Amino acid sequence: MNDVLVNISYFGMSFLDPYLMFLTAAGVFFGIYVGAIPGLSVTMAVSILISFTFKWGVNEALALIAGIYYGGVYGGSRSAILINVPGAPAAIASALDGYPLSKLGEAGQAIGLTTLMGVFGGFIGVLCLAIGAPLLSNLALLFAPRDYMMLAIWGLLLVGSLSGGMMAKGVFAGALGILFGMVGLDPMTAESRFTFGSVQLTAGAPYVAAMIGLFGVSEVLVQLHELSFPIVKQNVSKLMPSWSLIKKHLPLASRCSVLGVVVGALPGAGGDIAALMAYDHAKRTVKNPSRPFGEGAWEGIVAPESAAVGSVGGCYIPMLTLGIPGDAVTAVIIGALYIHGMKPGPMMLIETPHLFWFTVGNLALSCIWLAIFGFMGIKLFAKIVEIPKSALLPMIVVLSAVGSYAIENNPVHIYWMLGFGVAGYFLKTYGYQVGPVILGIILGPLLDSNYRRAMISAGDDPLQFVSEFFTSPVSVVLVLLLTLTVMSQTRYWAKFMGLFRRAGAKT
Amino acid sequence: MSNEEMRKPRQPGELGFCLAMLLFSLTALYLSYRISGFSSWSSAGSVPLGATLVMSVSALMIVFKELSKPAPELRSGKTLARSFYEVVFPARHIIFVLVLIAYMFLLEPLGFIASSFFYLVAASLVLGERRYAHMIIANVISLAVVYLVFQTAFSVVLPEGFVERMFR
Repeated sequence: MNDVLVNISYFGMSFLDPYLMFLTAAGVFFGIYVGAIPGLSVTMAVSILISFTFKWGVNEALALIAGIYYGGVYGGSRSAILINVPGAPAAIASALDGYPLSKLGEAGQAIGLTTLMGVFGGFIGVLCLAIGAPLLSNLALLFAPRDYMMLAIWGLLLVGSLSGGMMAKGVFAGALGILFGMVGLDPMTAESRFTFGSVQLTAGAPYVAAMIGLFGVSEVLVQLHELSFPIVKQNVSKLMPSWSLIKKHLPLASRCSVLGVVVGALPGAGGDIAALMAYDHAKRTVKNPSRPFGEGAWEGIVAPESAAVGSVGGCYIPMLTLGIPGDAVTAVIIGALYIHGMKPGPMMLIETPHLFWFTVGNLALSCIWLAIFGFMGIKLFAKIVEIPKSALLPMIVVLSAVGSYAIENNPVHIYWMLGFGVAGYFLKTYGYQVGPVILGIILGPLLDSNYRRAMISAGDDPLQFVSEFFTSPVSVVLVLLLTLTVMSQTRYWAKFMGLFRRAGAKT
Repeated sequence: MSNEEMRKPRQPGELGFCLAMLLFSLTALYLSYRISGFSSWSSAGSVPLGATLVMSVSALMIVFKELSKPAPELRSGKTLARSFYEVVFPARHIIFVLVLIAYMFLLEPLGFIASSFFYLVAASLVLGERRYAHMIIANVISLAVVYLVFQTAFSVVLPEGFVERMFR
């Protein structure tokens, strides 16, 4: 009983401390605009910001980052609705029906409805995190090193295959990330790996500079190709949707929020995939949409928005309980947690429950701020989205450079940033994803230490090592999941599913 | 890969880049082998060896897939290098990166405010901004905001130059 009270007090911390409250609000506010401006991503904002929060306390940094994450995932839908340019990948699905609604003159209500449904999804996500994480954390105590190894591989495979494009390119990018994660002294034997005699590299690849380069500078270079996009003025006087409209879509929003949480909780899948899946779900299950899908159906904005914002809570589950990032943003956040001396993993809820409950409370607070800012500042918003890219892009570079410099007050990190930025630009141009690279950098050391522990406990015998995968139910389930993921990427899978359907049709 | 993707021609320089990635992977594979050879299944070099092996195999698969696509469409009389320059890395990109390199080297000698100001003006010009007064005022205001926020809220130590010393 006492424990519950203590946990509730941690939960309420950011509600009672005015400074933390302010930081969360600032994060959400800033996140909405970063998310809404096409070309600025949440991953970019969080990666640039973490180097600035090095000197802060953990709570302050967590509050700001949670706010930005929520604001950013939500903010993308605004520009999707108003100018048909999704501000963030999670808003691609929202543009399909959001922009047609705008053309019908219902942009205001559309923004109002996405805000309410997003906040609703957000709260469901936080609730699932509060219930699910302690359960998963207990289960995770049963995980052996080999299970962590499989989770890491599964996460990389999922992010490589789901992020679109050629599977081989996704796998390549993930393995490249693992390689970067291996640079430095081996923590088990203190042998140096890929250090080329440099003392600086023994501490590892400068992964914050890598993140800023891959998500900041490379994105700026991509944006240089397209400097202008059309702006359409909108009438946004009426924001609050009618109660009947809200009531009608709550069941769909509930289903899609849960879908968002589940997808978010998968290692390697985040808000963008959740939103697209929810849109697809709505299309298949809603028999009589308000208008046909793609022509301004309310269902078409309710589903992706509740799923996208709901996925944030889901993404935090594997991140906090297993130390495995759900997507690129959470990979960056895990990087920030390491820097602040936290160890996300099953022991986190046992050793530092206050940080867990603080995070849950803080995410709930972010949802409240989202509801407030979602209905405010639409006019200001229109001005900010109109900032010309000729002013915006150089500013991002300045922030990236200062962020890299601030890591150690050392200009060398800016060189790294530029190197990773230019490399990231070519990777993106030729269809390689940069998300798996960052995931690989974070998951590489985890994969390395767990694989070797598992191998050592199997007496360095590969046959024994393989047979141990079939000794516990957890391992068997993970082996099945991994096999299914790999199988689903091959051409045999489509044939197999075809056979299956035909057999189903016959019976 | 769908049939439609197969028919899409390669981008200029794509094959070269994929080949470079293959070469990089093979070099990394060799370096991984050098860490501890095949001494044991749980040696320091085992995961790097595995990762670079995966990289090499997937890079090889990518090269074969790229080869099966049609060659990049070149407009009449243009070489591959020319269309790479036009489509993938045009003059605007080159100058933008050069200005950024200059900024990196000037950051410490000139200090944050002066170097960032010059950088912002130069980069905006590269990106086609021609409203000079507007640009200078906007850059001064945004730099002042950035500087104050970082110095006060984030307590980041920024490189100091003559402008910073004037205000002290």
